[in-house]
Amino acid sequence: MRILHILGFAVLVYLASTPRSSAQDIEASAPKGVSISAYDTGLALVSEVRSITLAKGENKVRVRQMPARLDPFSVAFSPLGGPGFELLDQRFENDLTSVDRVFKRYLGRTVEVVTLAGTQKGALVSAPSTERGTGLEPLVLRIDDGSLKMYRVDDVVSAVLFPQPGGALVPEPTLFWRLNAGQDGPQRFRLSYATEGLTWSASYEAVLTENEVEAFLTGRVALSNGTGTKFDEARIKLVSTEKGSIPSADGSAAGPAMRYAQGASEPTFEKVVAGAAALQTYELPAPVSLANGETRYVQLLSVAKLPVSKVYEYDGVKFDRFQRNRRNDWNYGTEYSRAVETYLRFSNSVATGLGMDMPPGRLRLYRQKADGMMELAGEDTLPPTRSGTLVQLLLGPAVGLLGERERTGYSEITPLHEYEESFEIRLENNSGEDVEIRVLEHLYRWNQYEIVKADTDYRNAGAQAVEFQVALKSGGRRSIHYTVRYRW
Amino acid sequence: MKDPDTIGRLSGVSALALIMVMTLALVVGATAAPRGDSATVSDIHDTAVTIGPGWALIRESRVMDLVEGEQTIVLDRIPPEADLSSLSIRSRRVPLQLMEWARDGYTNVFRGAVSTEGDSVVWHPGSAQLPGASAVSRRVRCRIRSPLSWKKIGVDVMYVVHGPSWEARYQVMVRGEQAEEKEPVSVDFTGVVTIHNPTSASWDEAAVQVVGDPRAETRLPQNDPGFLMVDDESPLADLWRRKPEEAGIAHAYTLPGKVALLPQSTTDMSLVRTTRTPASRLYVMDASEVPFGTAGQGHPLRKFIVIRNSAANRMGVAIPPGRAEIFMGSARNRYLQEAWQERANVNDEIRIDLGPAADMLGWRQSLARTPAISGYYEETIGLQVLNQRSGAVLVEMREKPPLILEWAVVRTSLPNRGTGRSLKFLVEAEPGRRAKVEYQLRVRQPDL
Repeated sequence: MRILHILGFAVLVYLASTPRSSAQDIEASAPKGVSISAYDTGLALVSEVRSITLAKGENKVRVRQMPARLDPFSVAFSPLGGPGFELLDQRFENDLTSVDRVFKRYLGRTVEVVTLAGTQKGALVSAPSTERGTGLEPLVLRIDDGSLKMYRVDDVVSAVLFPQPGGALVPEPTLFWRLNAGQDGPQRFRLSYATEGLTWSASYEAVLTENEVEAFLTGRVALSNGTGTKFDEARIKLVSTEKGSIPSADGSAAGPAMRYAQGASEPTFEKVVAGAAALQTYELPAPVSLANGETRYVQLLSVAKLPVSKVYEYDGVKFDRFQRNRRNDWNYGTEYSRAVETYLRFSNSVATGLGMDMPPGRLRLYRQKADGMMELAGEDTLPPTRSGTLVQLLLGPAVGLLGERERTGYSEITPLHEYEESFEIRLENNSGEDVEIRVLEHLYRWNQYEIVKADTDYRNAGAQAVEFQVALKSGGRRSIHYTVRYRW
Repeated sequence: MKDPDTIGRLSGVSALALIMVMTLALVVGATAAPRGDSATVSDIHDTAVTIGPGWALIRESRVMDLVEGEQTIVLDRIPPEADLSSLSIRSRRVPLQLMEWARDGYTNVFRGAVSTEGDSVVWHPGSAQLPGASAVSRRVRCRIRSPLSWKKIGVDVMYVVHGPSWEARYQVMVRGEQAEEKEPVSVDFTGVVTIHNPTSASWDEAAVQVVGDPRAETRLPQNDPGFLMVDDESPLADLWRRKPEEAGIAHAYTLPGKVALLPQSTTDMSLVRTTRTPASRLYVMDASEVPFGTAGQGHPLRKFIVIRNSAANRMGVAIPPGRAEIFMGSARNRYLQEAWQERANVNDEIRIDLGPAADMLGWRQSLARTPAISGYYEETIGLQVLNQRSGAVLVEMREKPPLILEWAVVRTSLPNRGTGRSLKFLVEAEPGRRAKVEYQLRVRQPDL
């Protein structure tokens, strides 16, 4: 019996120590069954289940554990069984978003000012506005003896304490509802809302085996929770959109070119209007808990032995961007680069252990050496990849492979109507291994063309392009010659 | 989790207080419940750092106990600058899966300038650091999955850190190089790789490898071309626009020994250091520097001092490109110039550019043009150098025919050592005399 008294007393102590809530306010339960659609624009659509116990008639309800960056207009709910209820009005409050707001709430209330000389208690008479810059106005306290004490905030005040915030503030993002219930009893409901601040990015790591025919591929997703609240055991669906692929205004990411609009003083991205609709979605394999302010990394996929192949390509011609529409310019397309590019190719199929939609993200490729050392072999961005497609990633110039592309002849067969051009492509393999190089040649002068002479087999490679496959032994060199005739 | 000592002390207080505490704990629930069992994996045996332009790949060998199934481990000493999206934990013996991970501490970004501390809301004016927000934790809590248990297994922890970079610098001292060229020439060659670590991370006893071609970062101007940028479509803009740079081939250079890379520091690591390495003199006539059809007094050749990057010369390691300061004289008493040292593989030549030599002149001229078989003509081109010095010198002629038409070499008066569409001749030029080379090309006439 004595113990029961003690227990009862303890419960009363606990209830008294909880933040102040008006006597008639009903607390909604903590969220359960949370599911989140996280857009690549930072928008998150949250759906969760809560419960409340309502009394017949008008009820005042508090819904805590809401994001600070909630869009209050987006809040919607639907009763899950039960008699249901009707929303009369709603407000969203969070006083800790601004110091000025806290000061306003404490005007006339007791605060504590901490300085090097000690702590002074007193009723707040006036306070500086941080929005206009601190130090312009003093902080004024009325202390117990009735005198006023003024502080220049920027000089001497190291902290201002606002005690018992439950009595004056709404210290966490909270929804306040006025509801009308048809009858007494518990009520479960699904709450959904939109919030900003939940961002995600995908990245991949692939480790090539020493013989470079297999890779250990892992995909991971970084979830950054800047919403202002936590999410427990949330099922998360990632959503990629056209809008999310456009870099932010700070220009930190590569993206569309920037342009000056008529009369504008600053350049803007060429494409500023883009769809926010979901292009592709990816569901995380297991529920995730996200604390407020946390960045959490989650494994998205893992394939231990992914068959891969390396492809070498020499696409030598280098265009100046102002050389377009100069089909009869004798100098057109005579500059070239020497780099032979390396591509990594793999199939996103069930047979290879993948077979899933993969969100866009950076892929780092490592190479496992015989002594166990790892080296970074290249890096590229994986585009959004559907299941069943072939993936090809640019890893950068190949070490030891060299290409040269030189024009060896140019003639006007019929001035202004028919031209002929000859090229020599030279390849050199000092890589220490036998390789096969795909040589891509663009027939850029005009779309009516004919290869009139070629000393190596070739085949069409898309519009106005042909390709040659050249096998080169280690230490080997090889030249390709061809002549193309254009007519217009 | 309460430790045994704490529980012991609690047993001494009154039963009432204990029951209240337990009751409160029941009411409050598990908000402060300890996380699942986790082991801290801090025993770093070996560190390898691969540094590129603006990043470093860290590989640490750590030891841990594996439990079959899922377990939580804590990796400590992971710097705040680490890109955790690149984190991986691998074992050569057990296929580990890294399921989920996050830093232990994080900055609460939504309290703004005010925070809750205990029962109060607190505002710290003028504080750049958010109150109550701890510095970014160096501990990363990871959930991993293992197919089997294993005691004391070695794992590789890898991650990328943003910030570190490197550059190579060389000091070259040329000894015995005088106007008369009577003494043998030798070179003191010192190469240093400077590693910049602007991060708060440090790595002890790290084996270091540097990767990449830093030329683009150090050589080329990065400035925008100016006001013409405002209109991309203007043809004039093309005159000012720097052409897109070709991606460089990323070469790796392993540095000898191990080093401690301290936070916010710059560390010099010796790459190569030789003294009195025997060298030779070479004059070069490069077609890109000597205009075709040069008349009159000719064009100065460029002088090089050549050493071989070989083990016999106490070198024999691949050296990355970098800035070189060239001094003349054994006492380093004459600063000649700052030059650019190109990448040199093992057993490659290292050429030290001493600049134009006014007493070695070169000409490139067309000597004759004759008709050949139908549709072709033949052109004879002459190269000559005049040695105005008092001794014989070796001249390398790097020739590129001044033609855009299709051509083939028909004849050369000296062996052609060039490859592809370039020709190269080596000539011994006697003092006070001209040395000549001729080559003949068959050129396909344009079908006009």
